[in-house]
Amino acid sequence: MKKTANIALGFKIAIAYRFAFFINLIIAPLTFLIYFFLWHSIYAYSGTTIIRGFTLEEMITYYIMGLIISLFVWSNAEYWLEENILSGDVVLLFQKPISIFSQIYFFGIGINLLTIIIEAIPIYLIGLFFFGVKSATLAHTLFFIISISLASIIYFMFSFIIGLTAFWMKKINGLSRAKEAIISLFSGALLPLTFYPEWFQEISFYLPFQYLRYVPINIFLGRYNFFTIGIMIFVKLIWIGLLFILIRWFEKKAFKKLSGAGI
Amino acid sequence: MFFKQWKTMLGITFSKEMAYKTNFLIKMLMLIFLESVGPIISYLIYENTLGIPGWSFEEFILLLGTFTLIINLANFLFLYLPSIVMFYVKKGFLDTLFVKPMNLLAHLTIKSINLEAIAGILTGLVLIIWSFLKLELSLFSINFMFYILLIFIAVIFQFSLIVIMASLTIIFIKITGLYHIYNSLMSIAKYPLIIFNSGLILFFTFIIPIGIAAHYPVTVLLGEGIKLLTIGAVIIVIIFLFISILLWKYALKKYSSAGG
Repeated sequence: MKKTANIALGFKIAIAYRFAFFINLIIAPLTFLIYFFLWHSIYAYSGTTIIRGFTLEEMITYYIMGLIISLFVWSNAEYWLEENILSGDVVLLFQKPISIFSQIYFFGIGINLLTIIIEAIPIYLIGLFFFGVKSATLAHTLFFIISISLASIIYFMFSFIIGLTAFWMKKINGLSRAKEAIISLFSGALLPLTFYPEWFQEISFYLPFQYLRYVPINIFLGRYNFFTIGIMIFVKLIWIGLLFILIRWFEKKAFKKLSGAGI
Repeated sequence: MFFKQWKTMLGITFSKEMAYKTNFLIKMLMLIFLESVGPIISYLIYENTLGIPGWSFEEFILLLGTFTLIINLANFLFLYLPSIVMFYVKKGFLDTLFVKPMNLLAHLTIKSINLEAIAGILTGLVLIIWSFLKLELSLFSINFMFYILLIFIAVIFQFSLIVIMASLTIIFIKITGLYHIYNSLMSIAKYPLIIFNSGLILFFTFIIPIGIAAHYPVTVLLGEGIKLLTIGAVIIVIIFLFISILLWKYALKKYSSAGG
């Protein structure tokens, strides 16, 4: 019930900012245009139909699905926590009958609900009808949705951990930028990971970042069989478990720090 | 008076940042790292493909460096102007600034300094210097002079866009989405116009001269010379500047304060 209330609150706030959602609908085709023309010219100039395992159609789909994923797999939990810690309002959050983690997480789900309705579906349709985006089978679409749902939890957890460091550092936008830089490089958000050197691909294989972007897109593109998809989802769940343990440990330390400050 | 005030504000902004030294240091290092991601990705694209037609890797890095420099100069000097305007309008404080002995736009611009952009300016300069050395370009050439002039014009173009955004903020008392549109438009400037079809090249030259934000300065430096398209883009920037100032004056006339 308390969780539903937080979801409803997020949804209401998202509606209040619906203008920004519509702006995204105008901007999306502009971004599509860049990727469409950029990769068309690169493929034509290189005189090949496949580059690093991707056809032109798959490459354009990669970027457009990446854009759609970025609508879900995001969080500004760290700034929200920072603001509350700096103002001292975090004490009020600790007093609520639901953990801070759940308060912020379910609030974010409410915002994402509106994103699905007025952004993701129209953006996908624009991509499908005007930019030649590939469509996926029903099973792959389903696994894609499961995959990005788990990815959004992992991203939120990273964001939350960075936010908790504000108990010690006060200002955390430096660390937040570090998170952005690392994720953009290791997740395959800017370029499919197959473009990177072998050693880099091996490192990213052991890190959770590829599950935020590269893996969900490849599931959508039908590049994994169902057994591999199962393993990928299982590994994601393990990462979520590990990050959850880390968060609990951090929260306890943060609570002690709060008492130590005399609040 | 403007420069004296600007210097004072720079000092204040710096002191504020120094209150959290560790955060500032991490932030600057990470911003440099973030700005370096673009060149890394470009390198990977050029390693795996023939790249962008007619543009070598070094030339593309020159374009990326020029873009990074221009965008971050704008970020350093005035990008936050619409946010500052929004703050004053929402709080109903804008009226208090009318009595100041300084032009309102100049006063608010001074308040928009953003020290974070220094990381981007430095990265842009490093990329430009690296490609300059690789391409063996000369500092003592007419092309370089035009390059500097066009960078200056590109910053004016950025200023016009930001003033238009600030004016719209006063008129609609809304800022949501404006920065999204700005960032989206600017992401086009990261690439040579050659990747687009002729219709879009004309659009990004004569309707919204995004090409001036990197493409035209770099092509002039690389020896393509001043072409009709470059002159056209410069003229459109001047028109943009006039429109932005007119819109700003109109917005101030329409401004009815918090109780209006």
